Amino acid sequence: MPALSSTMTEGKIISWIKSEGEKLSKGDSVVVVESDKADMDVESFYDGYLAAIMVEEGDSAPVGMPIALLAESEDEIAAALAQKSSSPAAATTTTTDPSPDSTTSNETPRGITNANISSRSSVANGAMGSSVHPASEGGKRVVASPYAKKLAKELGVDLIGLVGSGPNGRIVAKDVEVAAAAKVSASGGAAVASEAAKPSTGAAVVELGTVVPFTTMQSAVSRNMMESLAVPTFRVGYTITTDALDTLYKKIKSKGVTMTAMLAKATALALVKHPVVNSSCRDGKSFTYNSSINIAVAVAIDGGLITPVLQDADKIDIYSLSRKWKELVDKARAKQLQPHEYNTGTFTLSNLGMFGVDRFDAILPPGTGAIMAVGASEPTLVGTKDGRIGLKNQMQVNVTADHRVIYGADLAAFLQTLAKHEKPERLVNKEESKETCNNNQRKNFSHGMKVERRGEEDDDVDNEEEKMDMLWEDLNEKFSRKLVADSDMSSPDRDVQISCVKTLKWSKTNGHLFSGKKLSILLLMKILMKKVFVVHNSRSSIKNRAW
Amino acid sequence: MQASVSSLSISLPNSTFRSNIRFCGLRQQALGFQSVSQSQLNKSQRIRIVGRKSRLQKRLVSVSASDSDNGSPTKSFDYDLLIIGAGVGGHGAALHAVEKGLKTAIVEGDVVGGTCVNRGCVPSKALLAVSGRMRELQDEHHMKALGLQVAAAGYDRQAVADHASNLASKIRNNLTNSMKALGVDILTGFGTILGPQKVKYGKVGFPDNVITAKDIIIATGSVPFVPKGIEVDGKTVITSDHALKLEVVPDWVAIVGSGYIGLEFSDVYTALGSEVTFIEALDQLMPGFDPEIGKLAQRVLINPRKIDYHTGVFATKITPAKDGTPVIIELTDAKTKEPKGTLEVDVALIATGRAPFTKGLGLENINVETQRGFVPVDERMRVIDANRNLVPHLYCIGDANGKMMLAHAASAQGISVVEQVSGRDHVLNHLSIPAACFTHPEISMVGLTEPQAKEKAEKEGFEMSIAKTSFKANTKALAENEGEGLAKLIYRPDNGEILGVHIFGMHAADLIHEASNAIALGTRIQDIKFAVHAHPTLSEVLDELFKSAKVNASVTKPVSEPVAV
Repeated sequence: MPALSSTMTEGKIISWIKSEGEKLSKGDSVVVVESDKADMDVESFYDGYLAAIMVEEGDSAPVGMPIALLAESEDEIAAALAQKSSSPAAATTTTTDPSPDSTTSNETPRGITNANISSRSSVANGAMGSSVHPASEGGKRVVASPYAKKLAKELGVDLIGLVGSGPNGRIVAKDVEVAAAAKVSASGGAAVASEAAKPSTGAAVVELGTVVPFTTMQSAVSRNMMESLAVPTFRVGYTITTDALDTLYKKIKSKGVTMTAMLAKATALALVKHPVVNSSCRDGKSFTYNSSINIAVAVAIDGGLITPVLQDADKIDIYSLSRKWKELVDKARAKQLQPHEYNTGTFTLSNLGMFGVDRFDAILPPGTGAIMAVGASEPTLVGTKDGRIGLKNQMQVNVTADHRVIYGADLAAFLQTLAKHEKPERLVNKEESKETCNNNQRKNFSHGMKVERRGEEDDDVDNEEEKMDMLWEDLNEKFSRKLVADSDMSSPDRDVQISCVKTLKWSKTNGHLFSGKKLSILLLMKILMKKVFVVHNSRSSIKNRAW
Repeated sequence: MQASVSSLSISLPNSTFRSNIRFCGLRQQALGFQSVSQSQLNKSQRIRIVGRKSRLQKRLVSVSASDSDNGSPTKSFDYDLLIIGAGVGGHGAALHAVEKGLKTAIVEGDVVGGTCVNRGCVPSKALLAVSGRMRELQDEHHMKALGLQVAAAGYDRQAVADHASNLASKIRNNLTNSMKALGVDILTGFGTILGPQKVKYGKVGFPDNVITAKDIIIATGSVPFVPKGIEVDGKTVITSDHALKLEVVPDWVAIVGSGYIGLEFSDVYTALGSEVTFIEALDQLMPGFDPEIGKLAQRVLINPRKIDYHTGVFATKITPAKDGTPVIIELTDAKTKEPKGTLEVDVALIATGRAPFTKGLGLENINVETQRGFVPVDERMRVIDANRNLVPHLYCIGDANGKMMLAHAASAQGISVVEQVSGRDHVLNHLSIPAACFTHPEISMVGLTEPQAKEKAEKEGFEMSIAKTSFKANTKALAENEGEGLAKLIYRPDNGEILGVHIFGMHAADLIHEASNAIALGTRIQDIKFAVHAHPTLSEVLDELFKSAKVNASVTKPVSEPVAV
C-alpha cells in the first residue's frame, strides 16, 4: 500500500484496474486507492505480471502492507500464487516491503465493535479483559467513543485492555492519550530498571542486513520521541551521598524492600515539598498541578520499555510499595499491565545504576514535567568541610524538566530536599512497619547510650541527631495519622491532640540546642511517646500494640 | 348548524355539473369578500364572528340564501380556500391565495409555523449558526492562517438553546402576523374532513365547528419517523423535535440515519464537543446525495471529525438509558439480518426521516386511502381516491403527499394549487426545486444526481456531460481561507440543458439558486454563461462552472418542458 499523502496511514482499494495474471508495464495504472484525501490511480513501477491480489476491492490496508504480488515472468505467477496462500510475507516479488506482522493483523476478522481498531494478536490473546463496561462482556468487546477509536488508530494505541475512564467504563479520547503518553514515558527514560527482564533471546538473533519494521510499541516510542522535541527541556544534576540510605537498605532488604521502591519513596517525599516539580504543562498555557504523586519507573521488557507506576508513592509505606513494585514488574513481564498501571505517572525515574552507569541523561516523556536519571551509587573520596578526606557512597542524579513549568531554582530546591534524605529512615513509616520501627528505635536507643559513653566524633553525633529526628517524626506521623483516624471525636479532644503534636514538634527543634543532653532528651521522648500512647489507646480502645 | 348541514347536503349532487357555474359563483363571492375585507367595520365584525361559530353559521346561511335570491348558484361556502395546517406550505399557499383575491382560512391544531419553524429548519439553523462559529473559533490553524488570535472558545448551552427557541418564536410571530395582516382567518383546532368541501375543526374538549370551503388544501406535514423497536423517551432516545431544544450536549450521541437531519445534527453536536456515531442502513453514508459530493462531504464533514459510523446496519432495538445503564442500541445487518453487535451511547438521535401526519384527517370520509400514510396526489397536487379518481376540490401539498419533503417545496406546491384554483393551470417542476444541507461547509443541489442523469440519458438516448469547478480557484473562497469545495454541473452538451447542479462548499445553499432558477426558467448554459458575475464573489464558482461546460452551441433546440414528479 503506497503512501499517497503525507498523512495517509491506510488506504482502501476502490478497484483493481488490472486483474490477476494480466501483464503490466511500467507506468500502467494498476489499482485505484482511496486515501484520506482523494482517490488516486496507482501505477506500477516495474514491468511484469500481476500475479496475485492480496487486498480485495473494498478492503483497506495500512501503508506499507503488500496489496498484490508482482511476478517478473509468467512462469513465476504460479509460484507467487503459492506464496500468497502459504506465506505471503516471504514473497520476494511483492510490490512493497513485506511485514509478517502487519499481514496477520490485517487478516484478523473485524467485528463491528472493534472495527477501525488494529488488533495485534499478541496483545489480543492476553487476558487483559478488564474493562468494567457493563456491555463489554468481560472485556471481550471494546467500548470506545468514536474519537477515542480515531485517536487510537492515529497514535497506534491498542484499545484492547485499556481501561476506560468515561461513563460506564467507556474508553474516551483522554484514556488513549494517556496510554500513548505512557508508551513514550516508557521509552523516555531509555533506561532499564534492575528488575528489567534480560534481553530476550529473540532479540539476540536479529538477522543482520535486514530492515525490521517497528512493532506498535516501538513506533509509539519513535513517535513520542519526536514529540518530545517540542518540549523545551533542561537538565540539572546533583551528587547525593547515600551512606545512610545504603545502611537503611541493608537493614530492611530482608523484609523485601527494593532499592527502586526506596528511590521512589524518597523522590515522592521530596516531591511533596515541591509540587511544581510534580506538575506538567499540558496546553502550553498553564501549570497542571497533579493531585497525587505517582512515580513511574522505567523497566525494559521484551521488545520495548514500559513505565509501571507506583501510585501515591508519598502515602504508601515502603513495604507495601516494595510489594506493589514486585507485582507491577511481574505484570509488566507478562504484558498484563493495566493502562492505569503504566500511564498515570506524574514523575519518572530511570535507573541504570545497577549496570554501573554513573551518569546519564533522560528524555522527558511528553505529558509529564520531569524525569530523573539515576546513576550508580559508588564509594567516592570526598573532602569534608573540616578539611578531612573520607570515603562516602555517592550517586549522581540528573533531572530533565520542562522549563515552561519547572525552573532551575525549582529543581535545585527539589534536589536539595532529596539529598537531605540522609536520614532516610523517614522513608519507613506507617502501620505495617511498626515492628521494624520499634526495633530500630530500641537499637537506636542503646546505640545512642553507647555513643554518649564513648563520646565519639561528629559523624556519630550526626547519626544521633538523625535518629532523634526519626523518632520525632515517627511520633508526629503516628499522631497525625491518629488524628485523622479519630476525626469523629469531639472537637475539644482533637484540639488537645493537635496542640500536643505541635509542642512535640517544637521540642524537636529545641532538642538540637541541648546537644550535650542527647541521652536525656531521647529518654524524655521515649517516655513522652509511651505516655501519650497509653492515654490515647485507653481512650480509643484500639487493639493492643507492641508498645 | 342544522341549516348549514342541509345546505351542504344539497351541494353534493350539484358537484357533477360544477365546472362553469361554480366558476362564476366563485368570482362573485371572491369579490364580495374582498370588499368586506376592505371595510374596517366589517373586518372587525368578522373576527368577532369567527370567535363564535354558531352565529357565523347562521349568518352565512342567510347570506347564501340572499345569493340564491340573486340568481347565483345555491351553493355557497364559508371560504374560498381552506388550508389544513399552518406550516410553511400552508402559509405560502395562504399568502398567495389572498393575493389572488380568495377568502382564505387556515386551520392549525398546534402552533403556526409547523415543523419547519418550530421543530425543523428554523431552530436548527440557529444551532448551526452557533456550531459554525464554534468551529471557526476552535480551528486554531485556520485562525492563525488569518492572523487572528482567539482565546479558547466556550459556550453556554442554555443560551444556545434559547437562541434557537427565540428564533423559532420570532419567525412564528412573523408568520402569524403576516397572515393576520392580510386577513387570513386562523382557526384553532385539528381539522377533519367530513365530506367534500366540508371540514370540522376544534380543540379537544371543545365543541367542534363545521365550515365549508370551495377548495381545501391538506398541508398537515409530517412528524419524525421512528422505526419499530425504538423506544423514544425524549431524554436519551430522542428525535429532532427534542434535539432542537438542546437540553443536553451528550458526550457520545449515536445518530440513526445520515440524511440531511442527521448530518446537520452531527455538525452541531461535534462543534459543541460531542462525539458522534452514525448508523446508516444503506451501504453509503449520505445516500441521498450525488455520490461524488457525498464522498467529498464525507472526507470533510465526517472523517476529520469525532465521528465514526456503521453502514449497512439497522438499529433494530434501542433502549433508553435507565438506572445508570447507557442507551443500548442493537445493530442488525441490513442484508443478512444477522446481529451485528451492540452500541452503548449516552444519547441516540433518531433521524431516519419523517412520516406524514395524516391520521385523523377524515380521509376515509371521502374514500381516500393513504399510502404508507402519504396522501396520493397527481402532478397538480389533486388528491386521488381509492378508485384512482380525482377528489374534486381537494389538494394535498408538502410532506403529507411525500413528493419532496422540503419546506420550500411545500410552499411552491401550495402556490401551484392556488394558481390552479384561481383559474390558471400550473404544474410545478420539481426538478427545479433546490435542496440544501446546512453543514459547515454547506451542501446544496438541484435537479438530477449523476446516476439519475445517466439513467435518464440512456433511457432517452441523449448524451450527458459533467463539468466541475473547485472552490480552490475562487478568490473569495481563498480570501476566507475556505477553499474546500466543489461545484458539479450535469448537462446535455447537445442543447445546453442543465440537468443538475451540486455544490459542496462555503455558502453552497445560497449559491444554488442561480442554477435552480436557470432550470425553472429553462435557461440554457450557452445563454447563462454570458451572464456577468460580480468579482470577487463565491458566485463566480458557478460562473466558472457554466463557462467550463462544453455545449455544442450550434444546436439550438428548445429545452424540454418542465418535468413534474
